[in-house]
Amino acid sequence: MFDFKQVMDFTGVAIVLLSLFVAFVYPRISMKKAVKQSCSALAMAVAHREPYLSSHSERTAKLVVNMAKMSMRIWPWRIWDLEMAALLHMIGKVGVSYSILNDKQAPEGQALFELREYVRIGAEMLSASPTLRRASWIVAFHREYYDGGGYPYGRYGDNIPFESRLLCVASEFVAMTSQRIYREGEAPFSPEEAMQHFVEYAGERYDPESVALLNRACQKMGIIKRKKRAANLKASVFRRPVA
Amino acid sequence: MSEAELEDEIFIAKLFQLPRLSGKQYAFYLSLCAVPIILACSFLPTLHAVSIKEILCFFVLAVVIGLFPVKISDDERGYLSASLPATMAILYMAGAFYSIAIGTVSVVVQSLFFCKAARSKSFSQEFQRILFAVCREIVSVGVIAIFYNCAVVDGLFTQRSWLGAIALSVGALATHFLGALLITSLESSSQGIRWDIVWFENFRWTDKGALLMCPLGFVAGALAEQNLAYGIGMLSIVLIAAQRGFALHKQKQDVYREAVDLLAGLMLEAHPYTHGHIHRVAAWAKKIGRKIGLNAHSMSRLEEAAILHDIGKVAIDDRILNKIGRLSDGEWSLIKRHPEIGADIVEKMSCFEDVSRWIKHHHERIDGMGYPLGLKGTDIPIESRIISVVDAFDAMVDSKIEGQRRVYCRSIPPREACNELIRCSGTQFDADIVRAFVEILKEEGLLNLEAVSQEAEIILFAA
Repeated sequence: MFDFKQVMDFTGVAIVLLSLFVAFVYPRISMKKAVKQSCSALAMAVAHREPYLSSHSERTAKLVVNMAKMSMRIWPWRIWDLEMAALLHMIGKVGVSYSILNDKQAPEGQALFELREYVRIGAEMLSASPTLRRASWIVAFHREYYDGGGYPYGRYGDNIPFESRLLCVASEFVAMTSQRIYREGEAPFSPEEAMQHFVEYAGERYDPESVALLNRACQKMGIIKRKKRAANLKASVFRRPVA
Repeated sequence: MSEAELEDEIFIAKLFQLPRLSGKQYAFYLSLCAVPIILACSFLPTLHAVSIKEILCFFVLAVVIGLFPVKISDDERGYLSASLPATMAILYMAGAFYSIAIGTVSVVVQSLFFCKAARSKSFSQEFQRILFAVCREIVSVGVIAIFYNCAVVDGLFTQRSWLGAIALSVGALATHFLGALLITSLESSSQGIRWDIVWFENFRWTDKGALLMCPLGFVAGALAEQNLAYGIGMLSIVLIAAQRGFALHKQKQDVYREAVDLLAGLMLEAHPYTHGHIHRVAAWAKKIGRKIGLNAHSMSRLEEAAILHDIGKVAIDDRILNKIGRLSDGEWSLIKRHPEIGADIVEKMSCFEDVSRWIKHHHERIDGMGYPLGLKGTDIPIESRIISVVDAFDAMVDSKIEGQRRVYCRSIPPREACNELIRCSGTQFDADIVRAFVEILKEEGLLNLEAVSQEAEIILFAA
């Protein structure tokens, strides 16, 4: 019934296919899972240090991935790096002392200077890991503003990587709409108010393209209600940076 | 731990213990195994006439594959190559002698060109190492070859039927494991380590690989007999794929390793003075694990667990941790949360599930007075008990070793710290682990024999 020759032929082909799967498909899947788990463990460590921002990283990651998916300027396989960067953009905050992070007043002067060091520390920590090198690049510039008014390097315009611009807008949006320790008792901004803020400063402080993507992503995720495009959004999108 | 359970553990430990051999004796016994196998193989009849072309093709394949090994660990044995199926295919086509010859040559080539870590050694050491590798190859391939030849010659199976091929691959696998067991037991007696740990550290991957590779070799042999190019082509595709698969698997392990390093980096940023502490704790914990014969899986994770055991402290205000003087109740309750927070963080990584459990319980006490859950005795995982002993010891002697300072307690010499451990064993610490730890300290010379006070000795060794 089964010819020895035929069985051997069939087995050979089957083994080749199986081994190709084992070598090229399966490790990629399991590797991504491993990295993602490791990153969320790191994010969790930071979240415990700053309890008021406990879900900040995850929410930012979700938002920024949605933004990136709608953008035409980012390769599909780079979105994953962006997601890891979003999960880990606060990691430098372990290097900032506990009292500054959990101060009841908004940081000023020396405290603000120390707080801002977190970007540098975080990027440095991530750059030690070969898997996260691209993510460390994104994290390093995620506090730069479009007009050059950000920190730590003061880059402006297209000198800031596109992913960092996305991450900047997304993380600031999430921060504005959540409770902060130095605004205790006050209600956080509503998503609509926050969006208004971003639209106002698009082209100056924020990258207009990122703001447009943020608006679309928020509408798609149901964070703000879908409505007609804000009248001044279109105008601000085409305003170029001053610096 | 109750008396009966203790006895059980000792019994198992004795079962795994083999007589201790020196390196030279080990080499001698290994060659003693290899020589009769070579003799047997050279006298076995060759099964078929094969052309020199076929043999050459497989020979080149085996050597080339041997030249691209996957690095699985840092020591000299840490290379894995997939040349086994090529030797199996040759065995199927040409018989025992050629397969052993090809296997040997590929191993020699591999150990000459790779394993650069061992280059600095003298010529005789180098020679010894290659001899070891060759003998190992001869034993593991030779056992299969003899089995195979005998089975076919005795007419157990007809060689050219697919049922026969399956039976042969199963038999080959069984004999391969037998060979691995032989080598493992020799090696374990020469190094004085339990044989299951030796197997886990050195042969886990080759044996798992052999599960696929042995049958594969026979399939390739059968295909090559019909059409040489087809068989060789299939085999090389599969081997390249396997090589890559192993490499990527290794990378995945590295990712978790990297995450542990990053988390340790977090600790360094948040509380710089604990950095030396965690690495010392990791080193001690590993030694204790070896001493008391922890199972292989726990051994491989114990180092990570020890590095991460205080990771929960990143969430605690440094002003509380560095406070001089008494802590208030509120501050204590904050500090007592750190094992749970640590477990919470580590839990996110699926391969560290049990590590997170160990971290959660590393401040439990044997008498049930610890935190967070107040577990008693053997309810506490043994790894947590190890970490708790080492953690306490290192916290006590800290400044003696590296000149760093813990703020909330003064440092004391190892001798007194040791007495303290012994005094608290049975209430705070596990007595067996303390005993093992004191022995290690003595071996390391950190503690001379007279130093442990008289009554402590009595408590320790009367049990």
